[in-house]
Amino acid sequence: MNPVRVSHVSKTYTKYDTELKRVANWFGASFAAKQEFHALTDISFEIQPRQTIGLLGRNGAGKSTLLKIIAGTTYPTAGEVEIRGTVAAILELALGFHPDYNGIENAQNALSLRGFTRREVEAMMPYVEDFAELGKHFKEDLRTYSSGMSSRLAFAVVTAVRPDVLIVDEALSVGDAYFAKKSYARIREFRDLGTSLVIASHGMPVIEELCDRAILLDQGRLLADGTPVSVAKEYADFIRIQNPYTAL
Amino acid sequence: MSGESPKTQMEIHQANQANDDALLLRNALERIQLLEQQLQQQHISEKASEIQGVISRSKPPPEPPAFLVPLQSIWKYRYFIRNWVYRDLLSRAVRSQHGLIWMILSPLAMTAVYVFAFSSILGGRVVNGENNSFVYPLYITSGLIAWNLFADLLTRGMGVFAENSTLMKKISFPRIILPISMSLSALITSLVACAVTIFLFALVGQFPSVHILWLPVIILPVASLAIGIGTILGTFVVFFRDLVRIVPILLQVVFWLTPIVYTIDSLKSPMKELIVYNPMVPVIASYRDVFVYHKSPEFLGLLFSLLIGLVFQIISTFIFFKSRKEIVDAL
Repeated sequence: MNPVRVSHVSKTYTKYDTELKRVANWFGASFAAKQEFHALTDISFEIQPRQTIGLLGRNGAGKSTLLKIIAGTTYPTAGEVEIRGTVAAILELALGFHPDYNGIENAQNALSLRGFTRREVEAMMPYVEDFAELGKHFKEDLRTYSSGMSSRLAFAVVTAVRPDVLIVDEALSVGDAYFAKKSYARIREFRDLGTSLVIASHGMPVIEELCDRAILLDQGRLLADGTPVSVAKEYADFIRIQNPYTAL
Repeated sequence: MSGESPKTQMEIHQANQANDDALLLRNALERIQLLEQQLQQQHISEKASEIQGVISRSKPPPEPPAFLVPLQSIWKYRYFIRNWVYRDLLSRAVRSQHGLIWMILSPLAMTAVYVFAFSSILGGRVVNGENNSFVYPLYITSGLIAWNLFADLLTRGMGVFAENSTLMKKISFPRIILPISMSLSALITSLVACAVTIFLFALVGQFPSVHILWLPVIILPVASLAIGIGTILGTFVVFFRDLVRIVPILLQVVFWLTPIVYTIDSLKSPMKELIVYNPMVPVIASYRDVFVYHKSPEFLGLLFSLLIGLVFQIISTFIFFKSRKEIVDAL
């Protein structure tokens, strides 16, 4: 009955020498790919309720791909992910905001895309406005926003309702210390109410402070799964092996 | 001692460490489970209403009978669709300073161009046996409404996934609501055009008769044709970007292969027989029947168009399901 069950998930990005082959494959042909990139290979783990998991790994280790698969914006090539309950995600610092719409419209749009009705969205708007602290900018077009402002809006929209699973990809690394602190408080509040959390970050302090479990990925493989302290140590060792200069 | 012993010591040390870690982890897990049980009792009623069953990420979203998925999605995402259609119509109307005026003026101008080209330059014997000088403009206008709906649905369907790539990459939602919103917006635009046309026709004393009420029946085959072809292209465009350039050209070709600004009677022998296989022909003819000739459309022809439209719908659904694992990765 765990909220997230990832079993033997692999993700392979394929490249064909002509896209016609890809299309032909939909119709039953079996052309081989010219190039395959294994973003994830045989990943399995389960997330328990109220558990906060930090994903560690270098750029290109597969963290974002894994989060996207759990969030449901992309699909695994093999394996299975099962989710019990509702999922909300901030992927790559954004929510697909439209530059020509203002903050309110974008918030409405993103919330309605999570399947909320008009009444529900309207009930959430005061929270979003209050939490994002955009002031008069809330009524201005997104194109005028700084990156910190749009990520504040994104965070407010994603946390307007408590999901059973919350996925945060690097989103907390932007914004000032004040907003980061506020966001952590909100996340902890959700966790105490039963939300499971998955965070990807390069920042070890974030993982050690917030998470009760960490997973280390490299080249799409799960290298370690354990307490943040032990995995962080493994990560540090791992980087040292890969790049001896950092040990100086 | 040989070089082996420090290594073994390190291994032992590591093994111990791993043991300690495992122990710590197990303790922590036990504590979490205990806490969980306590908390579960508190939250059990709250949780129960939230759990909506298992979502599987490997076999994408819900799997009720396929034809029910769109209906379910429309209902669940009605607020998104409503907002999308509203903003789309608004942005079309206010895109330029006097957007609304241009929405009416530009089709009128097109009609004027065709009327001038065909009746003044090419000699004008386009519509046989009619003495009313308004007939040719009316004839063209009603055909153009049908064609504009077709072209609009098709071109916008072609861009529906490529243009909304940011949304699809960031938020997980049933993709089908994008073509649905887009089609709704195009249909409403076309209905506005119909209303304006009826008004203009009334000005020249050609108020359409009660047969205009057949319009929804006539729109059905155009819509199914254009939405079907449009969504097929919408998927393909993601993989073949050049289609964005090719399709408008093909659309021009089909425009001239459809009797919109000319009549079937004015065609020469091989074309005249072949053109009946163009599924747009019965649709255009039906628009004329209800707008200009004040009679009910020919249903057999419309049925033919509808069947072709359904074939495209089936192909597009097939491609939609086949491509949905790969389409986001290609955006």
